[in-house]
Amino acid sequence: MKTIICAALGATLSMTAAWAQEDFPSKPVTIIVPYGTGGSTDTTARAIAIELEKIWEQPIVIQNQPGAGSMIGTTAMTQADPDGHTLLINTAAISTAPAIQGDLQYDPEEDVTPISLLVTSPYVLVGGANVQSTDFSGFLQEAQERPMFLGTAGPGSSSHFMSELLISAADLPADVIHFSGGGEAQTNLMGGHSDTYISTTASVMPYVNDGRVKALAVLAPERFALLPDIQSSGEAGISGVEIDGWVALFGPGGMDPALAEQINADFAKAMATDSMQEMLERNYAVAGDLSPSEFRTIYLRDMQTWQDLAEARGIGQ
Amino acid sequence: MLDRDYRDIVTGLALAGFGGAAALYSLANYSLGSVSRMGPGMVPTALGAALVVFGIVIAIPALSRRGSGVHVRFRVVLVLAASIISFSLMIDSVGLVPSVFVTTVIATFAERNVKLLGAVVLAATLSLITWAIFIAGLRLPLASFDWPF
Amino acid sequence: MDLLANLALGLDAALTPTNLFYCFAGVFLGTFVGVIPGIGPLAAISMLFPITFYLDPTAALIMLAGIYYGTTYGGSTASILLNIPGATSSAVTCLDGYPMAQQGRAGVALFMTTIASFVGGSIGIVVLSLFSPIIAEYALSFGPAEYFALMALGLVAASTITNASPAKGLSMVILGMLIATVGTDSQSGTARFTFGSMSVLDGFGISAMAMGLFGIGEILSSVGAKRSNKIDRESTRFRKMVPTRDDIRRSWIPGLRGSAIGSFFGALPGTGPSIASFMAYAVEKRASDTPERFGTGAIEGVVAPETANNAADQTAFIPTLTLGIPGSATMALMLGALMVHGIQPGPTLIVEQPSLFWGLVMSFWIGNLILLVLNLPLIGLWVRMLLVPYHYLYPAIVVFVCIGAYSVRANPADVIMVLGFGVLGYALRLGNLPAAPLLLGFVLGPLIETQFRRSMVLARGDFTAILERPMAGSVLALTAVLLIWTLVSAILRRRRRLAEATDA
Repeated sequence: MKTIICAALGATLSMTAAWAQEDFPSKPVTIIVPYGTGGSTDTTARAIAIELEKIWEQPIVIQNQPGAGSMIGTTAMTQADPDGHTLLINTAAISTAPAIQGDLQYDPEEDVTPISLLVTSPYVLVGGANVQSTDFSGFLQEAQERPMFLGTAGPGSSSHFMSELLISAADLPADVIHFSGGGEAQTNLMGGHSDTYISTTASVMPYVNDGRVKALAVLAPERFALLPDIQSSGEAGISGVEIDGWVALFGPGGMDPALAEQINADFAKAMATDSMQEMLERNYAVAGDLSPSEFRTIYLRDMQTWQDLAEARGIGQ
Repeated sequence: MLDRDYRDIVTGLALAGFGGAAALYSLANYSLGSVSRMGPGMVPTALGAALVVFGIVIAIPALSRRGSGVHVRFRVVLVLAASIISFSLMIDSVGLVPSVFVTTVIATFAERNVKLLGAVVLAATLSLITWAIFIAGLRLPLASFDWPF
Repeated sequence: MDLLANLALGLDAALTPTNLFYCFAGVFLGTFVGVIPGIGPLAAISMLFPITFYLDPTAALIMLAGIYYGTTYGGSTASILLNIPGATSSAVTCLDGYPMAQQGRAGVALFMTTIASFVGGSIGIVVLSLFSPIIAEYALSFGPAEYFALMALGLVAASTITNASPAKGLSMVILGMLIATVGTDSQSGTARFTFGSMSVLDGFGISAMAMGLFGIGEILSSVGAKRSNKIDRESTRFRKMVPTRDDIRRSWIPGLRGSAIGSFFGALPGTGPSIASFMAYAVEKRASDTPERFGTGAIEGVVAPETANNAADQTAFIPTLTLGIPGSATMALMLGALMVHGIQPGPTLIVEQPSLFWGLVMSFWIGNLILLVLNLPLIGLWVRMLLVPYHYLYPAIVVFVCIGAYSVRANPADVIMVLGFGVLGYALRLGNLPAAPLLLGFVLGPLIETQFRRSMVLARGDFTAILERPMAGSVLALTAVLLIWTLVSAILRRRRRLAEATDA
């Protein structure tokens, strides 16, 4: 029975896909990147665009609209037609922003169609020159004995939210200290001015491999397959910090579900190419394999988590 | 010559007024925080207050000093403002070439010695040059012409 | 010796026809883009970044770097000729460069900046190739407290950058710092003075401010006014461009000092060419026997900032390449160009990718040489631009400033901000207030505020803990001494003047 439904569903899906394919993409597609040229999100988007141009046989224009913690580009995207020709690639910042920006100019539930989880990896806790312990269990003890400073990439950044989440989950007597961006947060770790930093694998692993900072934990229930040597937070008995970092694709609100499915499938094809797989491997990340509706659930869940945390810990007040 | 240095008096009072307004607005809207974690209001309030002091320091000696008048050319300010504002209003909707053309023509009115024909020739030349540099050369993501109709 | 072998390896990599071509393309483009007001290195590199996907990483980096330091060469041209900083780091060059142009010495100023740029760049490259790893390690020991102390010293040292009265100069520094608080607060995320506008959430752009204050401000006060134009055909002759013996005698020490200051500030992540040029200018003015000449066309006032910003351009690569930490948005782009190709900069880069690192270093030499050869003959061309009647020139400047402001973020609101700063610049002229300290406050203000608040968090609210840090403490002590000396000498000078007045 189940198979039949699946088959039927599959057939309808491929039919709608076939129908949709006729008029999409009918012209060049604009992908808005709400960050500056050359950043990690931008380079990811450009690499995908090169692969997608081959699939779509239409030019793809990457439009950088940086500013206001990605909200300028995101807002611009929500104002476009939901015909698939204007898309947005953003990080988890799209889920943290509603929790801290009072004057958001769009409705994060209605005006955004989550389409596809492109790249995902767990957050990694790294320690700097002043941290003695080499694993998470040791860190938890050390942090209880010596009040630490958890460095962030800025107020409202995902590293800030994750640090606050860790403080409350592990009940640490620690304080956050805000730097301007991940680079500054990591130099201050190396110089021993702050103690830890939390970010995605792609941004911390180069320095871990250099031996300049120590990877203390992956914030996940279990160890991460690509980094099997690093203790997980779940192993050390800490829960409530299992949120993954991501780079994802969005469209304007009210997009036809069939069109979203089709774009989702095309991006999956692009992510499966050799060059993208190589890029993922380099960044210790994996491609997401969620349908638009599954991803929507994650998007809404994360947003709720940050909103609750912001209220509980007085972030953005 | 004026009996007082009104230029410095007005300057000082304007600075003091601006600083005072900024300090009060900041005090009313942003928290001062604590010593170990200063809030967003601390620095603007302090800077605003300091500006009040310096404004007064500038204005007071000017009271007992002779000064000269100031001539403000409102016409130039208004014409150039119109020219620049027209650029910002047009660039997104009609594209580079018409925006440059209109901006140039308006800007020439700030001086009286440019004839309309000269202005049009200048505007056409500038449109061509900016098109060549920014669109053909640097490939700025900008439309040359983008008529909304 | 190892170094020689490395340099040979680098020369080998840099001299391949492809890399030579991209080096030339980069500096050529950079120097022309630099002349256009408002299009700084960041905008130029952003536009060309996508091509790095299709180039070999060494070639890509050589080209992007060429654009970067090429813009700094070109940036001074508009500062000197039109009083509009072509790049933010050339804003200080306006102070003495523009008066020189008005005295018919534009050619000399441009000639000297080209030489100064070359000298500064070369010294920066020497520092980069000899001391990269040591400097990178040392820079790590700079925490928030050290940056705060250093910026406070800079602010006090540079507050007397113009000849205005101390009250006017300081009030402008404070106004600049106050304007810089507009936007999202770096420590709390609160939007300050934005009044609900998204366009100013990231604060005012430094290039919008520099173009408005200097460029539009200048146009507003000279259009329709009587102009004493000393520029004639005679002053565009080559003979008039060669610096006098006196110019050279005055310049070489400031040039060396400027290079040293530039190398230092460039290598620190978190400061950069703009701060370096301000500091170099301030130091020269203090060191000079005749500080009153500054602001009226002193050649030292042109040479010092131009050596500093070019040296800083080169040493800015130290943290980027050896730590993988970009010190500025432009450097982040360079890093991006490497990462696209799977190359992770870090201490191992020099060992693992010697031909990339040394090839890049050698290409900087070649690039600087090309710039020297390219820019000297161009001086005649640029100076002739001043022969264009002003009523045709100023609409062109307005147009270029508008496009420049718009192109930074494709935001029409930025054009309006330039107008706002232009009106402010005009108002300052009417009030006889100096604009340069305002720009200084704007550049240093956010750094001082952010680092001070950070260091207070780290010190848990105990200011004496900051003073106990050896480096931060001694720099702050030096700052205090300098501040007291400035105030005392100002009072003494006034007393003396009063005494002379009563004697007479």
